[in-house]
Amino acid sequence: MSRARGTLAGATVLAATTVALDLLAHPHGDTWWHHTPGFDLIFGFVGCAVIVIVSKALGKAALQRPERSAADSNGAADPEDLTT
Amino acid sequence: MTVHPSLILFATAAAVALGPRTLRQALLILGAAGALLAAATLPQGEHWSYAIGDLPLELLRVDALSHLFGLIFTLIVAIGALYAWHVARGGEHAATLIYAGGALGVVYAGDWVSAFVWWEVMAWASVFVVWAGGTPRSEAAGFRYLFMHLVGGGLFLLGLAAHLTGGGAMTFGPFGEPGGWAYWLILLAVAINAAIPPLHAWLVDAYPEASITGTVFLSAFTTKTAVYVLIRVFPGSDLLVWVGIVMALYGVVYAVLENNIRRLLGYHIISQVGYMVAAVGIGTPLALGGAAAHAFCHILYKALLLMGAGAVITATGRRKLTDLGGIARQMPVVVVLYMVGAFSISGVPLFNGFISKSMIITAAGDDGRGLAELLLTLASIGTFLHTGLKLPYFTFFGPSRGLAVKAVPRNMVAAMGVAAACCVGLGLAPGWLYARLATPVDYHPYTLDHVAGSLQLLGGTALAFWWLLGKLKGEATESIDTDWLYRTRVPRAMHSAAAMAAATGEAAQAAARSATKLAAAFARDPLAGGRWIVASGSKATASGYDEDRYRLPIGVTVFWVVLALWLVSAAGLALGRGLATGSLPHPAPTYSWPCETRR
Repeated sequence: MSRARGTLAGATVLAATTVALDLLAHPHGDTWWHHTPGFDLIFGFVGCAVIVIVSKALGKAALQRPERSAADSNGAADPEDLTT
Repeated sequence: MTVHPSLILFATAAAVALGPRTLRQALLILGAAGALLAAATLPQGEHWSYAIGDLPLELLRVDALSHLFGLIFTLIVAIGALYAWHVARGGEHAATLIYAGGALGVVYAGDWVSAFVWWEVMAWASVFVVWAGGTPRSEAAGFRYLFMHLVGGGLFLLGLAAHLTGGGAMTFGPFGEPGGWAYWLILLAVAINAAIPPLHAWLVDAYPEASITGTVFLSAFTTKTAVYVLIRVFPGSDLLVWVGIVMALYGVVYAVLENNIRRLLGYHIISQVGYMVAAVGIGTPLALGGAAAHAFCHILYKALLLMGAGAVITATGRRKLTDLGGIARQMPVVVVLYMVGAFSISGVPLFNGFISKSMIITAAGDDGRGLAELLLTLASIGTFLHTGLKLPYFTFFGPSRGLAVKAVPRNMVAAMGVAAACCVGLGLAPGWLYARLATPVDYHPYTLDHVAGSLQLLGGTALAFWWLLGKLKGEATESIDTDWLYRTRVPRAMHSAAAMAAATGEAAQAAARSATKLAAAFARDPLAGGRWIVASGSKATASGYDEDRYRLPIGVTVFWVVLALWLVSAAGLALGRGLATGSLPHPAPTYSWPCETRR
């Protein structure tokens, strides 16, 4: 069995265990997601994917620009920074 | 005998800066340990009251809240002093200790005026900690940092003036209902220090540029002092719930894009402070306790993470994800200790973040704020993604860059060990922290549903990380944040305005020169314009002004002068005769001469 498949199998067993724990646990909150077994697992997966995809899209659309210089690494003044 | 911990830190700062170099390290550790001991032994209920004129001031007020914050502030000074043991510059140590003393002063202040003074001490001293970075970049970032904090201090002072002149109480305590200039001005000032977007950019601008050891201290005091003030003054301000949620998610989004490891961790300070701000807004006892507990835990794990990042920079000289990778085997102890901090901030059970962050999320749910609960949980996913997975993977485990790794000073690793022990200790025994909260809470983090839910959340996040690994690697890019406005656009607008003013001045000068030339030409030849119109193209025009042609003979001028003199004389004579005969009224006398009075 390859390393990746082994990791996947281990993760699946762990996920199944935690979902089983959900069935045994007494839910704390009143909302529907507290009573849905495995909700946090799905929320973690989907939430992470949403954060990455949305952030990257925002970065490409507006928030990111190419590095201007090696200034960041060596502490030299930023050449385009008008307040330096 | 009680001693204000700030006074110990100030005395230590003077000793470290001015004392013999050989004793510097010993004095630093002794002073930090002394301040910790003083804070731990301050009895609750202790007050130091005094008056300046009519102002009743309170330099020291120890209650459960100030005791808790005083304890964690002095603890992190002690850990930070150990981390900075090898730093030879006494001035940097002094600035750090005065900065910490200022923060402690705010925490222990019992009145508004003392709180403001300490607030300013903290702001000014922290600028020198930023400048201790010693690079042109840190110098520029320090000035921008100073600008933002001077604005914050000014707002605080204005709000304080409005509060006191409006008959507000001198006691440094809750405002009550929102409203009024004092409330909003002071909230705005605190929002700057809490790094609430869009007033946050100073943090991610300045913290990564400070010295390696200075960043550790910076992460602990300014934002957490602001959180303390929010808990003390603005509990239950509903607006803060959504402000905090935006903060928590804002930091997460930018952390995805960030390539500089210390700036990435800086964005997560904003995100984590967002939880505390939201908790203050929720305002229930569990939420307020959660805010204080999370501040306590956050100071420890964030310092640990930044100490880890500092160790990496010390060992490799690199600070970007795109330059790092494959160094885990060369610094295994640092990796393990960093991961303790990463698990703590991510809320992994048995680590301290789990016992405090879950309080806030639970408080949101208990308060009927389901959407807030979900969004804070979403931010928690982002935290694990970046600090627990992305940063350690690409820094320690990713593709090797063939970096030469230097040994990290042992004191740095030892300080990381102490912070990690505190993180684990609090995670294992949360009761110690809960017993010291200002608001008693009946909260049990280690329930089956909490633990199972957290493990699922972390597992789901790890699966998505694995799936999206290719998208998450560092990119050689910079993120445009709100500091872009005052770093480029505002100066550019000011340059444009100055250029416009200069151009207007030059145009006015040119117009004045032209008008002067015209006036001079007119004086030289008054009929030139008329001649140009009447006799355009004639010989006379072409040859210029000819006085024999255009001026009247002198006899005519003499005639008009004599005539005018005659008319004036005749009018004068007629007027004099009219007054004498009484046909014209005499003007009424307006005053008497002194001689008449004497008569």
